[in-house]
Amino acid sequence: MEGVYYQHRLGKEINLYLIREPKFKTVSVSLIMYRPLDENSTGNALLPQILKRGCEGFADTKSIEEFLGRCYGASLNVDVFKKGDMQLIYLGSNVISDKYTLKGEGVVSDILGFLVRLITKPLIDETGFKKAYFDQERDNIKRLIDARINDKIHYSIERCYEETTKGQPFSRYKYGDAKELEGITAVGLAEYYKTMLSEVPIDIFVVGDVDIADLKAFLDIPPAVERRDIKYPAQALSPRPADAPREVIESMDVNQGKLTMSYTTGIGYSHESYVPLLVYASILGGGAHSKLFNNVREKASLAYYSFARLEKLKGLMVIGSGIEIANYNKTLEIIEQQLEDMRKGRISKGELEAAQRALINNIHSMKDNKMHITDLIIDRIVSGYWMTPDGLIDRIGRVTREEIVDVAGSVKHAVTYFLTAGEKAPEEGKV
Amino acid sequence: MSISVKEIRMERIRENLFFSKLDNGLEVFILPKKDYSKQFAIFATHFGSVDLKFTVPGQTGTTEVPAGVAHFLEHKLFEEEKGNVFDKFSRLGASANAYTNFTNTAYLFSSTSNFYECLEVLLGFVQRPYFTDENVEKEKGIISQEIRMYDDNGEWRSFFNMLQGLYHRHPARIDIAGTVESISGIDKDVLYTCYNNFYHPDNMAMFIAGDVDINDTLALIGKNTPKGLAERKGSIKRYFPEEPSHVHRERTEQRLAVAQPLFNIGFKDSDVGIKGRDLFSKDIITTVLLEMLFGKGSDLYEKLYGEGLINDSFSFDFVAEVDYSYSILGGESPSPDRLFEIIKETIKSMESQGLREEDFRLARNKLLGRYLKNFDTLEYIASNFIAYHFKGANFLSFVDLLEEIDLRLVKERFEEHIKPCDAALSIVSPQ
Repeated sequence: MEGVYYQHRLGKEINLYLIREPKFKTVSVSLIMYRPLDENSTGNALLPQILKRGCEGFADTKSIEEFLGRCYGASLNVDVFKKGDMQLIYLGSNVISDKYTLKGEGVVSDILGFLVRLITKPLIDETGFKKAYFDQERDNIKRLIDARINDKIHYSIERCYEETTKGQPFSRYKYGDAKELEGITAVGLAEYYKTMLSEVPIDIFVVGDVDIADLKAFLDIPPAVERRDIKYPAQALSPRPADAPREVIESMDVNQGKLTMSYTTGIGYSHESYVPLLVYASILGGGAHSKLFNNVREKASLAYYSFARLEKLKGLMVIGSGIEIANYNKTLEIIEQQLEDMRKGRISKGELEAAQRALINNIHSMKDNKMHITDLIIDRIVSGYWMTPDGLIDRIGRVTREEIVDVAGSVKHAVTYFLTAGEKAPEEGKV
Repeated sequence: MSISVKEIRMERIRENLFFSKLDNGLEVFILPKKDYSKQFAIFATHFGSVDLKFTVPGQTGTTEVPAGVAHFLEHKLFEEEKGNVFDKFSRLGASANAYTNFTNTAYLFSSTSNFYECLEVLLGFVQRPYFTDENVEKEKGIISQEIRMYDDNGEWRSFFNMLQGLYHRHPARIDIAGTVESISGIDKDVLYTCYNNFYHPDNMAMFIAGDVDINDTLALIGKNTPKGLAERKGSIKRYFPEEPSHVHRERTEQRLAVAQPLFNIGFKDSDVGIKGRDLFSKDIITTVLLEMLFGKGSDLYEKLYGEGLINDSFSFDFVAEVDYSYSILGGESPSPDRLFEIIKETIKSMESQGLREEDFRLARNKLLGRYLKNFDTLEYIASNFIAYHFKGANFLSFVDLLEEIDLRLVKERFEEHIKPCDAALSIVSPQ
């Protein structure tokens, strides 16, 4: 992954990164636009959904699908991602490598050209984005926003973080807010998009069995787009709450309660204690070797899953478990005991080593996944900080128990969120 | 003792597969993946949630077991007399997991170092059951929470409600994990009965992908599987209740805490009892057909998307098992009933003449691209290979079979399989 790596400037702050990995048979292409999470986030979420519907030369789904079919069923995926305080607009494709096409014809360059065309030649006239597409995709985004409740595990994590970071950019849902959607019009969004396109940093990532020569047809024609002052969105750690931990209880008609707890750490991706924090979270709840898995699940049989996970750009951590509603206090007690054991340094050599090995195994494994390779470079760009995988592995191996106890002292409980059934909390819960 | 190995070269996809069958009946497949960091091994038995009534080879009389037993057994194999298996993998820096589906149970690990040690652990724990009254009881709490978690999952509920709509009696209609009630009837004797029958090497297979030495790997497997044990005469008889060809219930609706209705539509396939190459061919023909009928770019997709009846969550698949098979559509829709009507009307009025040669070629291209994508993820190729292997088919023969089919076969399949009278609708709607 650190091997063959090629960076090419396509225009002002439009970069192409080529990561050549001959072991893959298909190629992952990702086009990313970086925006701050702000009052425009709902519009930003809507944009790629409209852009994917067509552009000059590809007026409808039928012509797009015909093109993708000829490119051996290349996919077209669009979405938005939340990376700390940033919202990333994504248009991407997975396409077979030119080396596997039936007649050796080139398809990767065509796909790159197509993705750039979608963003630079959108179907916009004086009435804004094409009405039919705008209306349909606005309805679709509305549904996506509403559908946040469908996955109760994700929903409870989202809600817990939302409560933790109230009033901050990070509290925004990646698809935005249904109320804001009402104020967005086809013409207003088109105007916003034109301005945005001239000032948004754009990166294109290509991972797979591709030589730079294969992309010649694409590289010869620079994206036809006006570029002005390019604005990079800012990134900040989550502030430490001044108040005591809060408890938030939410009711829904569910069979299983979702207990989710958030913590601020003050330690972000570029902090010198980030790697010890990573190991801390792994010992606490990073898999089958962890304290939460073994104590909440294996010993007490209270849950099927119980984990701890970091939000590295924000210095936040979340713990989640799905439990019987009546077991709320009992589970809280066991989770609190695990945190206490971490603070007191009650960590066996086996626990420390298992966590280190699991993390190292994960980092090595990322080299086999095109999206993970892309993601690592994006992390570097949005954080402005670069740890090489080998550097990271080396640091993980050197983390000591003392360092873990040290970071344990920085882990401050912020919010306990419980998704439960019925009108009231199950028992009087104390945090 | 030398182990004979057969090499299967696949020029088109540039892969070589090595195959060996041990005296005890275990079949081993190795796919060398030179440049991958990861090694992936899967040890699977042809025993899934539908196997509830069977006769042991060489015996008379049938055994019936409670629903959820295959999955329960999967959970319990991870427990050993001393310690648990996860700890062993953790110490080796590998991550282990398992899954149970309708027709097989698989144990797997992914490593980036200590591959041979991990393989030994995998072979060891799967062949060393340790069930006690106490540890079986303890697991009921964990599995109950797993079942409860799925009870809140709208997509999962919609899927199983559809299966219950399609099937009168076939056990595919029962949740893989069983129910909280059915698992209460599981004890250690039931587990041992199933174990002794289904975990014989002659009912199991192993697939390994990664940069491993073929001979060392095979020697290690030979050493760690029983030597005196011979392949049993005859095979396990599996009994399924007689299943009428018509659907059990055309419409099922359940209310859950979801934002908007989720749906599944199933088409019951009466062409069952097919194995091996014929089954795989039927699978591919039907998948091409579904792509032509419902794929993005089809007239029907465009109409449904344009009317807002489907969105990007829409997907379709063909499930081809030996004893049952069906086509499935799914996604979110504001009006699943109207969607169902339009689909039924369209296929009723559409004649197979409506299936065009150019669309057939595009669909075939798309399938080729998607198939190649499998090879970029060791987990996919391994689990797919195993699943097809237990159906008597070779997953790596896909490209050859795809090239053999023509539009005539697709048209025949349309006439025979996609019939409004064989369709069932399942809806999970908001409260």
